[in-house]
Amino acid sequence: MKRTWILRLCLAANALFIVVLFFACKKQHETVPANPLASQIQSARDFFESTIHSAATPPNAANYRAKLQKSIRWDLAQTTTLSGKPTIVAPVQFAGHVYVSSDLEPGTAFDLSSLTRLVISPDSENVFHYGLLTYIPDSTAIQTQTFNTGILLYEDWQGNTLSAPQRFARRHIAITNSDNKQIDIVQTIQVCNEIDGYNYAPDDPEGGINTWSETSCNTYTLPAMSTGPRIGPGSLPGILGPKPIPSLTIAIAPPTNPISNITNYFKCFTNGSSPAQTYSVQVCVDEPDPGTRQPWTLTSGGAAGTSAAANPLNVGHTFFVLTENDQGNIITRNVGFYPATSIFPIAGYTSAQGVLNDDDGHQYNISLTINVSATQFFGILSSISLGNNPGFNYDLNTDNCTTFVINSLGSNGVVLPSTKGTWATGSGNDPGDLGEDIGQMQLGPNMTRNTVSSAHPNVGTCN
Amino acid sequence: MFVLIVYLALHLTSDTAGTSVKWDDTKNWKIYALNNSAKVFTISVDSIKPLNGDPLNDDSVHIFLRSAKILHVPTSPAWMGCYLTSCENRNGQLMKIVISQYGGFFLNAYDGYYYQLDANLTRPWLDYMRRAYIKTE
Repeated sequence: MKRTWILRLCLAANALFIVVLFFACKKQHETVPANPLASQIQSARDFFESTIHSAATPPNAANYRAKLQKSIRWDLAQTTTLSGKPTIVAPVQFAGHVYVSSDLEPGTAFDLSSLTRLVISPDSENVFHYGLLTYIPDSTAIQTQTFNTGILLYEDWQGNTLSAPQRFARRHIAITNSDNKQIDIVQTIQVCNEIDGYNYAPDDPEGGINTWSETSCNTYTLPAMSTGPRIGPGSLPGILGPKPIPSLTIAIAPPTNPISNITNYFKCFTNGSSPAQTYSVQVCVDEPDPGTRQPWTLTSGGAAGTSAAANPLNVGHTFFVLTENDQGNIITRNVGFYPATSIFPIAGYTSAQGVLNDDDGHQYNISLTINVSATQFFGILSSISLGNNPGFNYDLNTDNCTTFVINSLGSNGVVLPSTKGTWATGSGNDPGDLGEDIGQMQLGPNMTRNTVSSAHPNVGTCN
Repeated sequence: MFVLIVYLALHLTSDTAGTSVKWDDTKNWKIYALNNSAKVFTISVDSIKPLNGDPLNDDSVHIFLRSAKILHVPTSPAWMGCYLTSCENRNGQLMKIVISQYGGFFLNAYDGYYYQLDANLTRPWLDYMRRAYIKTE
């Protein structure tokens, strides 16, 4: 009896082991990539990383895009078939925000990362070929939302052109025979790519924007028809044979400027307790009619050379120059509060989302400099920082640039006169009244007044 | 591949410019060391000619202005600071262009129209002009 029980127990244990082993094996089986597509992508990746990515070849100095830091999004790679050959396509991610536009679609900027793909395909001898394909839509593509027309740039990882940029139109489909390697016509063309643009160095208050220009001319001797299964524009569906194209202008522009991130803009200021560390706030006022309380001026007769309908209405401006002096180490930042879009002195059009701008190029005719404590200074910075917040609106009557300055100081114990002017469509604080109040006020020992505008650049950088 | 290309470009929006000026035809852009609004608005084109302006890169300006549309306004926008610039049109005539220090709009004194840039170009445009102006000081 006992022996029978042991035998049954052994059989049950064996069965359980088999079940466990089955699921264990099944689980293990699931973790092994059996997907042939994944295998193709992995093979392409191995080829690229071992032969191309690891090469120490410098980028083409004339190709600005090639010098940008970029990486391959293998996690988003896909497979497709071109000319009967399996082809792996992976997005190329450029560091930061890089935008391009061309004269094919004036005024529209495209995210370069969204336009560029790495394309890898084996040839008939199973040898991989690769290229970076950049598609720039033209105006027809954008207007019709069909994206069948535009220009294709085909380059290697270093930015050297692999084949001439091509204009194409899908309606003229000319899919080539993959076995056709006969060159019918050879033509020589020269293509010049002119690239103009600018980069931002967000933390460089003196030269945060760098303009640059590059012109690259290449001469191509090309067949009039595609020559076979090689990847690239020549074998992509819908591409015409090579033909001369107009010169291409590409602009690269980042979408932000330094002060769009106010925390970064202010980050060089340090909250120190040393008596040698001093802080000052300069309130700069650009009065519409200097020396008067006039809240706005209208250039009668219009701006010189214009019709009367264009009479410019000047409401002036008030802004801050903020300075920290740490034993001679000066940090200065200019900042002013504006509407993000144009506003008008008409009911219903006086308000817009607020935005902080760098005002180091703004003129003023009177200013008041106030020495403040570290606590006050950083409290003022915090108040100013609200100006970029979504929903923090600029209003010509109730929350304009002058109101912003008065409130930012007032909430931190620095009280300025708050005279309100009136105009046809409203009333509120205004540069004319604040400027004249500053001109007439009794100055405290921590204040100085200046009635001459001088250069007030941002000063100082930090890591 | 075209499916891919379509996918790549689907997020893009159409925004063709409708302007009375072919900005790509303009040249010899300059910015002047003058941003007193009253003086900028009243200075005549003839008075601009003898001024020494700093050249702006024509191509860079073209890139920004390709998106410019005429701003149909009931009255003048509120100006809060401006830059004085000039350029020549395709006929070589000098045009006075007054650029706002906010909002991405400007006044072409030659045709009397206000123009507005695309919102996504306003920040870079203002930064570009500000830095160009500072170099004139």
